[in-house]
Amino acid sequence: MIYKVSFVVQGGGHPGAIQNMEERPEKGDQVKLGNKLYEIVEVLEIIPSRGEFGYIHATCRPVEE
Amino acid sequence: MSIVPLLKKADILNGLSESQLEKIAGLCREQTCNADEIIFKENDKSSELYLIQDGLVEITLSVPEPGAERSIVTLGKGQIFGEMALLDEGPRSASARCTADGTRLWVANRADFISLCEKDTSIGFTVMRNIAADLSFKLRLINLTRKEPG
Repeated sequence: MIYKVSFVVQGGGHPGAIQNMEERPEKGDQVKLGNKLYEIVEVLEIIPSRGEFGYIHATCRPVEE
Repeated sequence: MSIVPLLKKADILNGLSESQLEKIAGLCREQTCNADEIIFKENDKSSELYLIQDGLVEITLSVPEPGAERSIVTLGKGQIFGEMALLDEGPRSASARCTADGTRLWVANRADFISLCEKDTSIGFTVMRNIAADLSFKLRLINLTRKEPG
């Protein structure tokens, strides 16, 4: 399964991102968007999967580095 | 090297057979770009659809202040951009800028792509449905971003 993931960043400091992932993102995972690291705080399956593709929305917050 | 394995990972081509993917692959050429390289600018004439193999592309809109722009989304592996012009033949609705060195793209010419969709209407229906779903997914992201307290 390939997961098409849309990322929304809390706080409005990042416009968001969309990318494919080969593993389903989970709450607590860390993800790099550009040069910055973010922690996923919520994961939603926003629309049903179709074929080999899952459609996921993840809300994240910046990780203090 | 065949790009069919890559095309299988692009959701706009979800549902196409191996032989149909081979036809799409025959339309694509590779393009590599580096950070800060402009791929196209808002209001440019448009004739190509892009698929990201690796790397990052930022989509931006101009704002009223001269020379300024606002980032609307960053796209990564497996995502397409330039699809609005594919559908409506209008000028580019936003600018696309590479934000990672060595970003690899596959580029298809609009006229060739549409011609293939017309010749093989099964490809045409599947791809157009998937592009509509992709646009819907992007709109949902924008809606969710707007709901997020700033």
